[in-house]
Amino acid sequence: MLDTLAAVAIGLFTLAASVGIFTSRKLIFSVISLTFAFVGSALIFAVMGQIFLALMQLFIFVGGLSTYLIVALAADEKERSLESLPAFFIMAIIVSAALMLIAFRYDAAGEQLSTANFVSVIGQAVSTYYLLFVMASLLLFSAAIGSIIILKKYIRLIV
Amino acid sequence: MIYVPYIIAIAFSLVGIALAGISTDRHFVVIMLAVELILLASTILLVTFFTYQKSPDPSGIVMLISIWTVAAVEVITVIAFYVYVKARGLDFDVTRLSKMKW
Repeated sequence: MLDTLAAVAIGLFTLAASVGIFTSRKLIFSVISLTFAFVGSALIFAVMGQIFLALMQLFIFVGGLSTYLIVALAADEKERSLESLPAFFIMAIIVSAALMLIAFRYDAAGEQLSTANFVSVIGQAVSTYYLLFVMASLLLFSAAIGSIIILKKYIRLIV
Repeated sequence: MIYVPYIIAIAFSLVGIALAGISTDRHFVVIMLAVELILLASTILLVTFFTYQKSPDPSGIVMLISIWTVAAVEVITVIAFYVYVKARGLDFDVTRLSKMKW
């Protein structure tokens, strides 16, 4: 019961952070809100007992991606208009409510895996699908090289 | 044990908020952040179904790592696009981005 309460509280925190992405006037605050949403998701993993995944989520999303986004977008001074905010709230409530109806039709029947089991499953995944891990790293590498090539001539203009 | 439908509802609400953001906001970076939010919701759903199942399946981990990779690539692309648009003095409004030229 306490676990469920903690998960719901953290979930509400995550939802509030995700709303903050669209209600912030400055881009940097949107990114900070997204960072809080990432932290919330990591906490949900931790409450579910997946500590290893929670740490991975924190390292990759908060430590890596969010820091990268914050550093890149920190210099953005422009404020954006929030004229579509009422439409956003109406649509968010309607779509979320519709999706929630589906969520509560799911009957929870299963048993929780322990962390030790999870780690062994990771081992199985790495040994069985090792090619996919290589492809994932190649995809990241090619994206990084591609963005460097595209931006090569523009970097001098903004620094 | 956590009541699973609550977690699923939270993930679905995240998707709902992101969809509302995508359809009402016109700023390119914000739209990409909304896509990031959808990927986040999918990781929450994936980990929930992975945790509360009877027999562990390694393909769930593969899917999770694929989602993480796509999210990381998306962030790299957003930053590249941001620097490109900023350097060329273009507008971030997606309705005004009619053409792109390298």
